[in-house]
Amino acid sequence: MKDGTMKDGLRNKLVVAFVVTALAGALFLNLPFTQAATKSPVIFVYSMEANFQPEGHFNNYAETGYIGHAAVSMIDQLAPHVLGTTNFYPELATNWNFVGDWLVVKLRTGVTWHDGVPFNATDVWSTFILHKIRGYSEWGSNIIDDVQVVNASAVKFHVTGLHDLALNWLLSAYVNGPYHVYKTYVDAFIAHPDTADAISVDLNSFTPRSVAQGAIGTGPFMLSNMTESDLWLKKFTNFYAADTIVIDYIHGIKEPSNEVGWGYFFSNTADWGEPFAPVPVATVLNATGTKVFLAKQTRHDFVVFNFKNPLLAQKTFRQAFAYALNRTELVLSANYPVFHASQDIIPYSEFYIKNWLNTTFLNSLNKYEYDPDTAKSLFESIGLRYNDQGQLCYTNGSVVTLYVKFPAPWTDVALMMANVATQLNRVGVTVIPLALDWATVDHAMNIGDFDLVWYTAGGDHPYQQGFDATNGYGFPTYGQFPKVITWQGSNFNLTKFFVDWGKATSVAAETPYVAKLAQIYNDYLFALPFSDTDTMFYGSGRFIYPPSYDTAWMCNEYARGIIVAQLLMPGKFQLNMTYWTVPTEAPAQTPIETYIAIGLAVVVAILLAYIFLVRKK
Amino acid sequence: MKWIYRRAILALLSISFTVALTFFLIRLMPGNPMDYYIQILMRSGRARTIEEAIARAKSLMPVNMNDPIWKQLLDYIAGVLHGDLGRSISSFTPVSEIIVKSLPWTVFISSIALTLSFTIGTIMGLVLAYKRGTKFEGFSVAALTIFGAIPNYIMALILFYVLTIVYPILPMRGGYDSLIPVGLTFEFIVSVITHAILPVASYVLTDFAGWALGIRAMATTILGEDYVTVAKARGLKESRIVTNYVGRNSILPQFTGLVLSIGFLFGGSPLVETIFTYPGIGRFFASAVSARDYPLLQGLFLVLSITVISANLIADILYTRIDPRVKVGD
Repeated sequence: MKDGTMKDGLRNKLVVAFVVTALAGALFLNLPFTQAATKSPVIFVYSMEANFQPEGHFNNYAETGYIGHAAVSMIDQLAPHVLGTTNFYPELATNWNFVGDWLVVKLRTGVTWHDGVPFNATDVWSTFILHKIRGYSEWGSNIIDDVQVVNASAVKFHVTGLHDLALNWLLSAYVNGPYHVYKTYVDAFIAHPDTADAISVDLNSFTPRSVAQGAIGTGPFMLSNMTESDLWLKKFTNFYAADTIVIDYIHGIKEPSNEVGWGYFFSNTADWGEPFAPVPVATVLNATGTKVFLAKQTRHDFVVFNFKNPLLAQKTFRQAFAYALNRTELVLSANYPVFHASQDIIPYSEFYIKNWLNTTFLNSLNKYEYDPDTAKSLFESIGLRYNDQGQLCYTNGSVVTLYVKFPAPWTDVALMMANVATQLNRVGVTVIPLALDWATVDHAMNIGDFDLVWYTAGGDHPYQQGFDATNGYGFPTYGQFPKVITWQGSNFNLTKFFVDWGKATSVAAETPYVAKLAQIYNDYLFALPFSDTDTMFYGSGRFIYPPSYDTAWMCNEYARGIIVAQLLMPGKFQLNMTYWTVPTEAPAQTPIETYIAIGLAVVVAILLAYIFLVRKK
Repeated sequence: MKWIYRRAILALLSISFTVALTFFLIRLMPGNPMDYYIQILMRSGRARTIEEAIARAKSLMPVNMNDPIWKQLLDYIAGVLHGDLGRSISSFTPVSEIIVKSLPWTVFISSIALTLSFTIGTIMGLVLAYKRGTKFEGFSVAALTIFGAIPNYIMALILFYVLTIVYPILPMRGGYDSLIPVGLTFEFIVSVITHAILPVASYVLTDFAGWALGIRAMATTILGEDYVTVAKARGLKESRIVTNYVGRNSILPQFTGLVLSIGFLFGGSPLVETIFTYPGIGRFFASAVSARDYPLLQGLFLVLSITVISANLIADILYTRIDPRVKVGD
């Protein structure tokens, strides 16, 4: 009897164990189907190079902790400028026009800040007052000298010149200074305008309130949480165009380096971003699980000459330098598909100015095609000579030696600058590449401690470069132009040129100035553009992206605003429904797991029937 | 006791000297925070003109930035004595807040890594010493030399690639899953542990070899000592000889190294923490150097100086307790 009981006990334990295992197995095998049936919130993971603000707080006017990229979807612009065109896309502004020197901007109604406070014209006014405290360009450059509230849904700016540039700068401004949040600072400035510097410093440490309470912006996404490495934005359900937003959350993840960032895409962790992969071009373009988008010619890369070096101050030397450089070889040396050899040696050659200038004019410009013989003869034409070793020398026999500085952390740039040295060495110019950390390069650029330095700039209004060139005169990276240059055989006053340009109030009136600027750049070569550079984005298969690059989506900030545009524009950015929801069509074949699960369930049912029905008898 | 007081006073002087030295050294680096920030603004297009960039950069700088360097040093020391380490230029957060937030993460992974690498290394070293002359020893020593030569950030990249991309079985970034609410919950604790595995493994896989090779060399020497031969002749168990006779005597130099390593626990590894986006102090070291964030660098070096010098002091004191042969005259 005792043996029988023990056997029964053992058998019962085995049966129970089997039943539990079978049930667990059935559940486990059905798990994929269970998961597929659950609709998760749509999370868009945006890999971003960014500095994050102190955890838990966000202040639009903290100078540090700029997070950009995905975070721009928290705030709206009045009307972002569509790069490469003269168009603007209406966001908070619905209409704008000039009445004399006043730009009157009508605002969208029914918009609220993320904390529920209605948005109105006072918020735009206070934003521009905060800009004034900070010394933003529209004030410092005398684009405007006054901003006034017309009524609750209109503001006006007194534009002092350059209507076209004013539109560009004012309408593209992010409206991020809600008066009810920044009232203390705005009011303090209105009462004591002379204390702007002190107010500006105080603004950095202002933390309006906790993230959950704070009025951050009026954009489609509101701040949910922020840590040192993660940014969480959630859909703002009161956004004026909320029905066009297909994403519930944006998760911004900090991308510490290209190598690591590429890992985020290679593992399908990130849905969007722009890491430079440390792998060959073909691998980038054919990577499994990622889609690659090239936003065409969003910036250009160039070599800046330091005019403090008497040799580089000579136009003929700079032109010889340009002939000595094979730009195609140079951009290929980076082994990365975003760089394209510049064709017309003018600022933003492929991107902006071509919208203003016709092909005949552009063809009349010097292309500086690679020609080492011309380079050598130009070098010799200014009194330099070659020694027995083929090195270019001064008349006293000392070898011409130039140092090119560039940021070592950007390996593609480092490769290209090393190639500049290699190519120049071929024509006898000794160029020594110096790969340095960013802060050292930045310092060298600011104080003019270089012969040659790599630089990059994004597309913008052509006046702006000229403005920088003249107003930044004496600042080595930007202002290499003397105020008066010898050009086409006579003195040419650049200050006057830009002052005159500033009076132009239409595209037609500005076009001759753009043409002249292009000619001056092309002839004078204060910097040598070598690449019209794309921005490369990566997208995951979880979303459906626009089929091709379209300038209309490139709102601002070097194409990073594309994400905002895509989030907003219906039909341009969609969910890949096979990932996010249950497939709309039944699977063609029942998976084997289902049969196993059903089989196990049947076995369990028989066992249970045996235990409770047969054995009881 | 006098000796301990003398050592403590010397440690305080060393800390003061290190703080003053680092204050000057970091300012000797080319560049400064203002230059860096101006170019950041211009490159990113956030400032349209150089004047705007300069105006905005100015608002970030500490008010005493233009004072003579000696005055800046005195201000800093006065601040430190009042517990004020200043504000980070790159995040405008109090430096003490950054340190308080990030230090526990670094100490967490570094202490686990040190314990594991020391334990594994010590055991392996003893085994290798005991198996000296065998093929196993030759192979192991070669392998250990290779592991010991790999920098931890290279190991981190290898682990990152293999275990988060090719075989995605471990989390690739952060200190915990940001979807899990922070708190003493099972889910959160598991998340913290799994996120620590790769940074810890990066340290352990590159550090244990050093400990193993160190103790192997020491133990090999001790195995030739007469008292070990006598112990064997007395017929004592192998395990007792390995642990009590060989292990205990060969661990003394290791112990010194261990205590000194504790000081460096507080510095973390800038590159490993950056690769895994781990919220430790090492990541701030990396960003502070890049941005020439003087106040943050000073604060971080202060912590590192205090911990390393204190660890030295503790090692000196403990050594006299562990090894009775070491005598210190008053």
